[in-house]
Amino acid sequence: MKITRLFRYQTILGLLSPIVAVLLAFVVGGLIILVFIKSFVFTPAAFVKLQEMGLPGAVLESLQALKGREFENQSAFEKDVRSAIGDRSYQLYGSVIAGQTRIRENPLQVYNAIFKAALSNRDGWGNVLYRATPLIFTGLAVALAFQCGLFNIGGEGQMVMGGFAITWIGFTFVKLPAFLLIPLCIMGGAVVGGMWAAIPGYLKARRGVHEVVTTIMLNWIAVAFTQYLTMAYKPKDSWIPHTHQIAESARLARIAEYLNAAGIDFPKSNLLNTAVLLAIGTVIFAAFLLKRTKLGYEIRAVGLNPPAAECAGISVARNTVLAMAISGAMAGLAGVNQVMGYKYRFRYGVFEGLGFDGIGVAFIGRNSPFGVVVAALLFGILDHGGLAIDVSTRVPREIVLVLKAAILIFVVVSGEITKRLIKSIQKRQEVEP
Amino acid sequence: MDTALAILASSIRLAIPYTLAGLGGTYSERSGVVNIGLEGMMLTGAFTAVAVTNASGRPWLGLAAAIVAGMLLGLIHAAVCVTFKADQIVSGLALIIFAAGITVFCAWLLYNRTQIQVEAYLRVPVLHKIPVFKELFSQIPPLVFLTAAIVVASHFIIFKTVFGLRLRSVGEHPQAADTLGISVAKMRYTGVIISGALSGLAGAYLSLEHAHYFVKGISAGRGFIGLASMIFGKWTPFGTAGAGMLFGFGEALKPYLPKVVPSQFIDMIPYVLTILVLASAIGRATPPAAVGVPYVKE
Repeated sequence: MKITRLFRYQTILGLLSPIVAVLLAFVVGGLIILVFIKSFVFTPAAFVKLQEMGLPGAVLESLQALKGREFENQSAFEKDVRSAIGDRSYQLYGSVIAGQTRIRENPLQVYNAIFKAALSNRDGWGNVLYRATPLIFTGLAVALAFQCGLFNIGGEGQMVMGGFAITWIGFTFVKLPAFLLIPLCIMGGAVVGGMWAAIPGYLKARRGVHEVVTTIMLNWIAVAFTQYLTMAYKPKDSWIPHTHQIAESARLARIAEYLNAAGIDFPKSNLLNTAVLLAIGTVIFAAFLLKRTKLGYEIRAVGLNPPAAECAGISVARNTVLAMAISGAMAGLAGVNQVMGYKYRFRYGVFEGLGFDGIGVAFIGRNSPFGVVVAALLFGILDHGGLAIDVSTRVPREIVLVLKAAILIFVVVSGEITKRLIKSIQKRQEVEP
Repeated sequence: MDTALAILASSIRLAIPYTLAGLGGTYSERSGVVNIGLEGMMLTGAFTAVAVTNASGRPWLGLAAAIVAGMLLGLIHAAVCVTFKADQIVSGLALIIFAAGITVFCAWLLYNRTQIQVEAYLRVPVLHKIPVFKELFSQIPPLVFLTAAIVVASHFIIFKTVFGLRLRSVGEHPQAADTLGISVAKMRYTGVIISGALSGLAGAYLSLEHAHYFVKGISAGRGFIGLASMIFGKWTPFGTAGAGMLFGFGEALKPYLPKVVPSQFIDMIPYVLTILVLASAIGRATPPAAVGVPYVKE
């Protein structure tokens, strides 16, 4: 009875705390928008107000020249108002004038713009899914390693190494038909990503080196190495640092083609491609692996209590290396979406940051495969919706990064608070007779 | 000879951000808190320095503001990691993402662009009027001397003072320190905030002295090389400075190397060396015993 009640608390709090965390992050983002984003408009009403406040006639007179003008930021406002009314008057009345003409951006409108662009039509949904796809791979990678008690922050490196392998296979074996080349590319990405992640796994298992530092270092090694390779495989006539294009037969079909063939209206330009199906498959595979196989059981046992696992005859070293390798393989698959589904060649720019975002996705998703999907969709909404606010509001789209950071911080903090709360509930129940 | 001198001067200039960030990491990790957010603190410092310098016309004020900005991020990191005992790596990562966002966000708002020139250069009040020093500072910026002083002072602080002993003790064995009446939380807050101050300073150096401008993502992984310097320097100030110099030297060599050595392989050196020392392939680096573990009072 008691245990079921505790379990219920755990489930409810576990679901509730990330939601609260996301809401809090939006509040913080809203405050930043309120504080930073302001413009100044000289409306007739503002003039009336200024007159009522007793501004000298001469100053009001000189301000008339600015009637109807709109200034996007403080410095533009200051420059023109200062030149209109003179330095001395500006020192005296500048803040009063600013106070009456200032307009702030409504954060709710900004959020509305983000969600509307992302979710109000099929094109938006498609783009959200397209942007979520690589994050599902890199997020799963972190989540899976975490189940083994490993913090793999090397997703970025494993992803670019895998991504380059995919590209290399794609532009090298151009003669192969699609049904061979596509699986070969996918395998190549997974194997190379897995091998890159096995290095820190091995160093942890055999040398006791903490994987966080080695994976950070391997990230930058991978980035530098693939930059070198990119230059080595650059088309001769190109000034852009990118490789040759992959063969037509290595390219994935756009989802739009299938939907249009089925008579469903969906824009052809939408980038959503079949890599999303691989992502869904990988989620199911990860969930199955962890919960239904011997290997998954061993991985989780090592993650929960390494000495106990060792005593039970589970090799900590072997599972550490394996978990890292599987994790890296998943990160390596992100290139399937970025290269085979979108860019058709390797360029670091199309990968940059996806590995790091994956860490956020994993933690927001509480390191469970299905949680990762939800979190990846959230990031996909922010990423795609962020593009829209540049156009429709005065808020720079970098507010999305601030939101992501705030979500991340609130999620880890609320996770800790939840853990403590459950512990105290548990203690109280033990005391009760 | 001229080339050798030029390389030396250039490696010193390049070593400064690594050394300062690495020192910051040292304070934080010696107190038991992993800080991968150095990169973000540096970036925020770089932006704040330029923004305040241009608004006030006083570069030293910009420098101070950069330090304060770094400390503020340090305060957030400490609150998340020490008070709430949340994951230190995730918190550091969040700081990096936050910094990448807020700097560009503010750059767009204030200047409508993401590359901002510095309008006033750092000048040492009296010394800059003397020709000899003017010549010297044109090759080796004044902040280099400040950094050298900080390195020596840090060695003294960490290894020769009561504060340093306490800082190290909460990083090695917080329970023991706690039973002796040392506040683990206070020491860790201090360590992390100092690390923010030093990373902010590193960022200010980068934008005010090194590049003379701020640009989106100007820190470009230097915070991570700072982390590498700290590890390669075995969590000691002199070691960190030495490692910073070594990595700076590698970077300074780049333009003089024959074409057969791709520059990307030079870029890898700090990271490869770090992995090698950690794996005890060369030397041996052991982190503070309690680093990364939140302290929970029994």
